[in-house]
Amino acid sequence: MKRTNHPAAVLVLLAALSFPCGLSAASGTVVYVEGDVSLKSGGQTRDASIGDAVAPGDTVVTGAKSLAVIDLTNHTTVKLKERTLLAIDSIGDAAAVTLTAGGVFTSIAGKLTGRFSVQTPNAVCGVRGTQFFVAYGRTIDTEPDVWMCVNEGTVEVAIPQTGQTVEVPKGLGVNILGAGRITAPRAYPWTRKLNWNIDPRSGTVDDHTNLDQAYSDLLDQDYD
Amino acid sequence: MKTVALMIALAASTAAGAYAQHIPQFPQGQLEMQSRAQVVANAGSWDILAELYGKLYSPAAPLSSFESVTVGTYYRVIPNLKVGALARLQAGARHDDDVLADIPSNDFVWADTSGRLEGVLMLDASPRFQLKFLPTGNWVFMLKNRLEYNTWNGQLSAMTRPELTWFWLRDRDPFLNLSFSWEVYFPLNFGSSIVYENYPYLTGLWHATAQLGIELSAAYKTTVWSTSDSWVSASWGSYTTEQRSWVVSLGVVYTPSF
Repeated sequence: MKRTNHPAAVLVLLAALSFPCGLSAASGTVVYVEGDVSLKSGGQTRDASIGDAVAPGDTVVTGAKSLAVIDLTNHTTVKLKERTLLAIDSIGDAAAVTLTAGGVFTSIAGKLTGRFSVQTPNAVCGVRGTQFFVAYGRTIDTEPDVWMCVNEGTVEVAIPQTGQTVEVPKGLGVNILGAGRITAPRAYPWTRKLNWNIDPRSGTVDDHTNLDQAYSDLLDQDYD
Repeated sequence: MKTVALMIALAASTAAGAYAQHIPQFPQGQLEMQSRAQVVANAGSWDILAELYGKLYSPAAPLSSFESVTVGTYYRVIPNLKVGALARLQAGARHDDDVLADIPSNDFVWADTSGRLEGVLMLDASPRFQLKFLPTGNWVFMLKNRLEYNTWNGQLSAMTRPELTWFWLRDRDPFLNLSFSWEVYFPLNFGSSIVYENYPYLTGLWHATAQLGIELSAAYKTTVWSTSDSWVSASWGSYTTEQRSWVVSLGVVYTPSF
């Protein structure tokens, strides 16, 4: 597949829902960590701990078998899977994060007044949803696939370079193929194993879903 | 001395001529058409299979009819190996002893097996490997090996089937499979030939949806028939002879995942 690389392009997951209180805050909070989680802030890197403040410009990095849950205020919480790198671009009414590795669950409890975006290089998506998951898949072409699936609400995914827009309803997912084209929404069996819980008080937040399951296993195709 | 030798030669050729008249002359190159509906439900390392075969057309039974139903399970021991146990109920199958000597016509007739139900138990082991060095890398070689025991007549046979499949992927999922297979049956406790039946075949499977496939296959089948009991009773000697036919199969495959 021929694709063009546009470093300036971004994958943006926008949640534009009304929020009665209209809260805004200058910093988020680390509400849960497990394993090796570090916080890069102001040119320095330190181990992240529960209660640490997270400000725009910071980057949260999880190691192997690790995870972190960050409250970005405005009822938006993100859960980082292992081996994830997430930059905090802004917090509050127009919260934005950039995902450059791994996977992230997003949960919007209630309604937002402003916008929320998750960005990855190469594509642009608009989202109206309360629970969705974005993660990098395999690199089959020159750039990695980006998988996105919706647990609650509706997600609108778009690629500005091509003008392609796809609305993804609850229970379905899409693959942004090498960030160049969005597949038709469909139910993926592997997403049933995702752990959508984002609140450590409600049970385990670990998610061990392997994105390799998102790809057809040619050795598992039997027809007699 | 020369006279005796000539008489022996004449007697031998006469006997050979007589036996030649009693080798069943099976029609060759006939077309059979099958239909197949299959469900393979995947749950982790387990596959649950149910399969229904029908005969759409055959010269012997032009009307569609039930052929077999199979149920069973496969377990994926390692990524490159599945083992399975299956059971099949079949009707209308023909075996060597279904060739009946028809003395009035000096020919053979088939026993009517259309209403005869037979149970078959099967054990299966199928190693498979992805051939990533081939163009596109989407090639899989599988060697299906199966033991079959017919509970009706006690016949035991071994089947092996090398199979090469190319997968055309669209959006990371199979869109079309093209397979070349060669299925060979070895009789283990019956018949007089090493190979009982073999057929190379081509199959195309179109994935209409993620879980529904439409399949079309064409096979060139060779069956080796060995002397039947009826032939022996008629004192018509023995034979081992081949019958060749074309088999076209149309199928629907449903593959839900849990």
